[in-house]
Formats: sequence, structure tokens, C-alpha cells
Amino acid sequence: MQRQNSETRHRRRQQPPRWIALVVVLVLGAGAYLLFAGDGPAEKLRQVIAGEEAVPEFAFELRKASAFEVTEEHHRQLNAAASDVAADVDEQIDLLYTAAFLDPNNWKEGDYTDVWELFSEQAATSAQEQAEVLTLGAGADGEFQKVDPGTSRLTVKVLFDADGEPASAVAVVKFKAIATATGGASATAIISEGQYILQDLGDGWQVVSFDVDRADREAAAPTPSGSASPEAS
Amino acid sequence: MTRRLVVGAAALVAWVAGSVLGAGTPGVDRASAAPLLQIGQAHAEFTPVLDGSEPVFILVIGSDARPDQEVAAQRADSLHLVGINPAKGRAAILGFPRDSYVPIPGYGTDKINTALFYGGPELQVETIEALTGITIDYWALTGFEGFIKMINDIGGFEFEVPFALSDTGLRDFSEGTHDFSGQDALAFARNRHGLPMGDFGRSENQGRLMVGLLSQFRREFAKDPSRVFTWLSAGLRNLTTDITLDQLLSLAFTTTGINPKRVENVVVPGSTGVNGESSIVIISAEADAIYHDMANDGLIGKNNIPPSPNASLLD
Repeated sequence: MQRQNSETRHRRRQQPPRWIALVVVLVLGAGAYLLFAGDGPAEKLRQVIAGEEAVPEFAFELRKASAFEVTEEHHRQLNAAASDVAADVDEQIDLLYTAAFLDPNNWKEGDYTDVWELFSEQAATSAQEQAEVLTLGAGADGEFQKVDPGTSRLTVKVLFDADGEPASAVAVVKFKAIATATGGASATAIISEGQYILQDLGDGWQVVSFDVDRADREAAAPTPSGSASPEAS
Repeated sequence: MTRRLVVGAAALVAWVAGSVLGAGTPGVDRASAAPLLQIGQAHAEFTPVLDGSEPVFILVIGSDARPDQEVAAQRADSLHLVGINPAKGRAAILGFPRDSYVPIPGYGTDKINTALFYGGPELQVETIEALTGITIDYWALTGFEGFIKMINDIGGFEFEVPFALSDTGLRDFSEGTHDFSGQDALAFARNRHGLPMGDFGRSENQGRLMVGLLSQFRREFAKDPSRVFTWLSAGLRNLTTDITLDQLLSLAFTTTGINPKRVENVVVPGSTGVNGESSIVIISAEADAIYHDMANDGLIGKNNIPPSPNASLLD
């Protein structure tokens, strides 16, 4: 035993082999590259270093875009334009629901500042007062350990003015997610359905009006090998 | 120290590799998650109604233009000044009989409805402003054809006919709830021969149609907010107005906060007379108190509301 300790101390005093140094340099170099490359693993690496948690990827399935016009003159072009507007609106609603229900950096802190920035000033004030419906809620951290997005659908209606410019849009949403309870023994299907009316107020599309129902339901408990399925649809 | 570096580096490699590989694999099991029990239900809503204490005034003009006639170059057979008080969630409708004999700026004294013929909606607004002392914010104008199409484009509306009504050449209505098409609404709006005070009663009934449309819009908006687009596009396709779409959207939201039961529907009081061979309406002095009330807050005080011209039919 003494001899073994002596040999160990002896090895520690020796210089480390060069291949180890080479590996360290390569790994650190690769890590640094990924850290600043911006996407995928790099983003996750940055989040870990910054103490942030990975955000589940999520996007609504855009089912339909339709145009409402105030003249008869632009009909054909407006249907195509409605699809473009719908894509922009879809992006905003994706951001809204990701920040409100899926980003653990928000719901674990009970801080939904990112969400309110997507609302007009007037609507944001009201939305914050109804945060328990519009987000996972202030107490979500004590209740859930993870949230997985489910199949969620969106239709967009666009109102065009007499010049054929988009004046307003309505996003009709049906959002689903599965929240696994702390401890993993049970799960809740988070279901948010409703409408958001948006206008481009000079800084992109913002929610100016909303009418949203939240109806959470008990979902099947997670399986031993993983979490509950988000396929609650 | 070196060992810690090696272990850390290996962990980093494993984490990066795991992340890269993990990104391509399903993150969750596909276990069934059929809803078992509803555990929470809640609702959130917000409509950006105007909340200022300043009233908004809109002159609603119905031209007697027939199909193929220029709507703004005919006479105004229907004239209503709508005052909206956003802060109080209330509104008032003040109707003017078409034969009201009033000063028309630049054209002497004539029937109020000729202002549209002389100078379009702008002169009609100027005439009502001069008469009432109220500054009008917006005007909206339609004709027979536009009115019918507008109502049909929203899919018609449910309307409570307050008393049985008949008019030779138009159509009869029984008392009670009706599903009005555009044609029904126009027939009701034009009906005056079955009314005891003729054009006074007709003007009140036209105000009733506006209140009925407000009720319908609120019901539809409560069920499906996107219906506001259907109403706005139907309106703008069939109206001429100086209200921009953004303003109209804002006003539409504001009307959702107005209780139809709290809308005063009033016709300026007056008496009928004759000027040469033409029958005219002389607006009575009591109208001044109504104008003064409306100018203040868009509303009409109870003490200044004249009796309904259809009062005898409402008993």
C-alpha cells in the first residue's frame, strides 16, 4: 500500500504526456468555436455557461391564411400577400408561446418580461394582470419540472386597407403542451385557445387585443423511460 | 490539476457530442396523453377601447341615391349624429327629419337634406355643425344599394321590431324578433306611412336599426373577435367615409364597450309646416338643450329627451 502511494506521488511529479495537452487544446478550441458559432450546440453551450436552460424548439403549424379586403380591386394579390403577413404573424405568435409556456428560463423564474414585449403598451398592462392565463404562471417552477410542446395550430386572417397594405391581423391559435409535474409522477396537458388581434405599430406586429381560454387537463403520467407525450391532440 | 482538466475536457466533449446527437433524436416518448380530467379553466381578454372623456361625433348619412346614381350627389334622406362617450361606455343617436328647414352655409335656408346635393358630405357636415354647434369628427355615407349589400355582407342581423308596421309599396312587419336581410332592413328604414308622425318616427326607427346592429356586432365579437374584420370590410366596401381604417378599427373596438341599452335614440323635436308647395319641418327651440348636452359629453340628459314620435305605437 505504501509502495503504491509512493508510485502515485512519483507519477504526479512527472510531466504529463504531450498527447494529453494536445487533446485539451483541441477540445478547448472546438468548444470555443462552437461557443461563438451561434447555432445548435453552441447556443446550448452558451446557455450552460451563462446558467441558462435550453429552450424547447417550437413552432405553430400554420393551417390557413385568408385576406379581408375593403375594396374589390386587389383580390388576387391580397391572397398571396396574406400568406406573407401570416408568416410574420406566425413568427411572433411562436415567440409569444415559447416565451410564455416553454422557455424554462422564464417559467422557472416566474419572469415573463419577454412575453409582454410582444404586446402593445396598452394590451401589455392588461395582459400582465392576466398572466396566469396567458403564461405558465408565476408558480410554475414549484409545480413542474419540464414542459414539452405538442402539436399546435394557427390560422391567420389579414385585413388589408384600400391601398392593399396590411392593416391588422387575427391569429386564431390552438396551443398544446405537456407539463411534467415536479417528481415526474404526473403530467398536465396545457391547452390555450383563442384569438390575438395584431397590428404593425411601427415596430413590427404586436398584439393589441386578445381573447384567450386556458383549459388545463390531467394528462397521462410520464413513462419510466421519459416524459409524457406531447401528442395530446 | 491536469487530471481535472482532462476530465473536464472529456465531459465537455461528451456534452457537445451528446447535444449534437441528441438534437437529432426524439426528445420524448410517445406515450398516450389523452385528457383525463379537466383541472383548470380560465379566460383572459382585452379590447383596446378608447377611454378618453372627449366624445367622438360621427354623422351617418343615408343618401336617396338609387343604383347607378352618384351617392354623394343626391339628397340625404337619413341623417343621424352619433355621439360616443368612450369613458362612460355610452352613446346617443340624434336623428334629423329630412325636411328640417335650416340654414345651409352658402345656400341660404333650405331643407337639411339638400346640403348633400349642393356640396357633398362636407357641406352636410358643415350644415349640421352650424345648426348644433357640435364639431363633427367623421362622416359616413351610403345609398340604398350600399346599405343592402353591407347588411347582406355581414350575413344579416337579428332585429326586434317594436310594433307591427305596414306601408303600402314597401312591406309589412309583425312585432317581434326578425332575421333581417339587407332588403328587410332597408324596407324598415324607409317605412313612414304606417307611423303616426311620419318622418319623425321613421328617423327614430332608423336609429333603432343602428342600435340593433350594435347589439349584433357585440354578440358576434364576443363569440369570435375576428368577426370585426368581416364587419369592417363589409362596411368599407359599401360606405364612403373620411374615417381611416385604423380609426375605424379603434372605433369598432370601442363600440364593444357600449351597452345598447344605454344608447339614447332621439329625434330632434319639431313641427311640420309648409314653404310654398313644399312641406317642411320647423325644429323647435327645445332642440338647443339637446345640442348643448351632446356638445358637452356626446350624450343627451334624461331631462332633455323628447317623447318618442312613435310613443302611441309603443304602448
